[in-house]
Amino acid sequence: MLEVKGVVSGYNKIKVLNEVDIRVEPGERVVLLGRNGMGKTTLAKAIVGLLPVWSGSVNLGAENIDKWQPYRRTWEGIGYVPQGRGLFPQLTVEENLGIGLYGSLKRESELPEYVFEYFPVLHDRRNQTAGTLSGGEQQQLSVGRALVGRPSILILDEPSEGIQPNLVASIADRLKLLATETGIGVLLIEQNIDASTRFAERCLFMDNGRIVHSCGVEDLTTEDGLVDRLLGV
Amino acid sequence: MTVIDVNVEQDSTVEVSKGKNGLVRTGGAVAALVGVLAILPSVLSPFNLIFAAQILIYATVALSLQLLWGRAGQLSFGQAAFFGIGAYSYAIVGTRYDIGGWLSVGIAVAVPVLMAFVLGYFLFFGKVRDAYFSIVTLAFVLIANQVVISWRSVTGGDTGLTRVPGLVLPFGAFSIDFSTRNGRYYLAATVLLVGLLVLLWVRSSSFGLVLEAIRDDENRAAFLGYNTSWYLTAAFTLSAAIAGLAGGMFASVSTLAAPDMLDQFLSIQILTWVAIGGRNYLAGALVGTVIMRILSDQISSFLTDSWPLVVGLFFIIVVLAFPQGIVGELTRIKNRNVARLGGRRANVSPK
Repeated sequence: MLEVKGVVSGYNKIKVLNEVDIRVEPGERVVLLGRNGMGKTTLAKAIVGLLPVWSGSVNLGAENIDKWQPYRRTWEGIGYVPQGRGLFPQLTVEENLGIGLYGSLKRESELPEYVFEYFPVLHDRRNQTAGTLSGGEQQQLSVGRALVGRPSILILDEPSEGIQPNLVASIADRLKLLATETGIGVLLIEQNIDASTRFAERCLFMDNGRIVHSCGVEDLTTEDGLVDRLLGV
Repeated sequence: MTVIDVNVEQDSTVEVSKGKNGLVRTGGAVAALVGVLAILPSVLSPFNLIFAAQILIYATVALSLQLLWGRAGQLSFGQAAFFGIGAYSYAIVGTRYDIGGWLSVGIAVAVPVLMAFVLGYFLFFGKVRDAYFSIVTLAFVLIANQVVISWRSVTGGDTGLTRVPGLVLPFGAFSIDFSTRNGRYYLAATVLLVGLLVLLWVRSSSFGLVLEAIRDDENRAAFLGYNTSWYLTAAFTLSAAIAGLAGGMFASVSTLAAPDMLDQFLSIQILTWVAIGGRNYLAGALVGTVIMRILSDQISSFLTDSWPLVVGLFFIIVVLAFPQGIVGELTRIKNRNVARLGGRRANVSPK
């Protein structure tokens, strides 16, 4: 279980996050929505340790992790799929997955098969360089790489960015299945409403570094004006 | 740690394979290099053989910088410091304490390794990176040079240490004498091959892959589960070990240790050799060193004072024309031809 309590963080001396509270239970599918520049990616970076937590706390299970280095958070179960995918384009699919494998605490020498079961295209293209994959395949590789370390919490930062809609839907379905079947809690950072409604069970809205609204995913379609009011679209 | 219970058999796995074609190609290249190294003593004059021995050792120190700069992305101006510290360590124990054999080799490696580990630990765990790292390593080589010049009673000051004994290595009941003219050459060739084999191992290992990941994006490597500061400290220390070994053996081959073995000018030269050859390639360090050492030697024979200007101009032209170095350019041409012939592997240069 991931619990973020009253987190304040930012870049240098510029405060971006204002006492953010988030909780993701095992197997729960949470989507964090918000306009550009509202602090969604900053929150992800603070959780994975790429930005310092100025005040508040980040807990994983019973452990307080906000002073831990990023690598230790990964070891203890946080998987992160950054915006822009963060792949190594000159390496093959298998080598990209291997990087995620070697970095995990378990130091396994073999790739776990369940990654290929959820994302079979990675098996088909395992000897192809990542740079030559399509956008959707690259996104699946990025998710797969985070999964080889067998995380308990998976954070995805705008995985639908630059991907055609039918592939976005397919990836959203696979993530939903993954969370349901494996018990991995997933925090999805998104602006794509269709992908969010397809994937999530709970929605959080972020505005100016604060969580301003929390609701069930069905409210996105049933509550008139909610999306327009909170996302300004 | 939370254990994830996935509803897929845990022992159902897929092996991570290594590229066999790459292994065959690398093996072939190393065999060709060994062949060339074996032929040289029979075709070179005694004077040129010692010159070749020095080039081979310089190539080894260039390889050590390739590890740090090309693979790990940390530009160090301090490589000459570890080279010189290795040379002085070997020379001091040989001339002042009559220590030789394996112990002298061990000391030539151990002293720079210890210094590099301490320096690297504080730099990398102190989050000193990029230009700041380069500046600190430059300061380190300046300090090391000043210490050697000032500590006259031990280092011989400006004149350095002469009559450094050659290396004789015992192997059980036998021993190999590396102090003869051919022996010195074979020592240099052995040092190069040892350094090359270690770095080939690094290149093919997960350690090397992680260093490349850190070079491309350190944050990305960190959230993939790597303690990047440890990896960089390890790379810095290994790089110093190879440079120190090369330095110690250079003192044995040339029978002296002098302050110009650990000054900023040598550091910059090493950097130019790697840059001209191609910093992303092991072969680049070798090719760059051979070309630049021979070029420097030829030009300095008739431009005794101004040869660095000509070499510097050559460096600028090559870097402008081939930013990835000579080997990088040759690789690019090869990849382009492969792509024309329908090859599938993309030519994506490392950052």
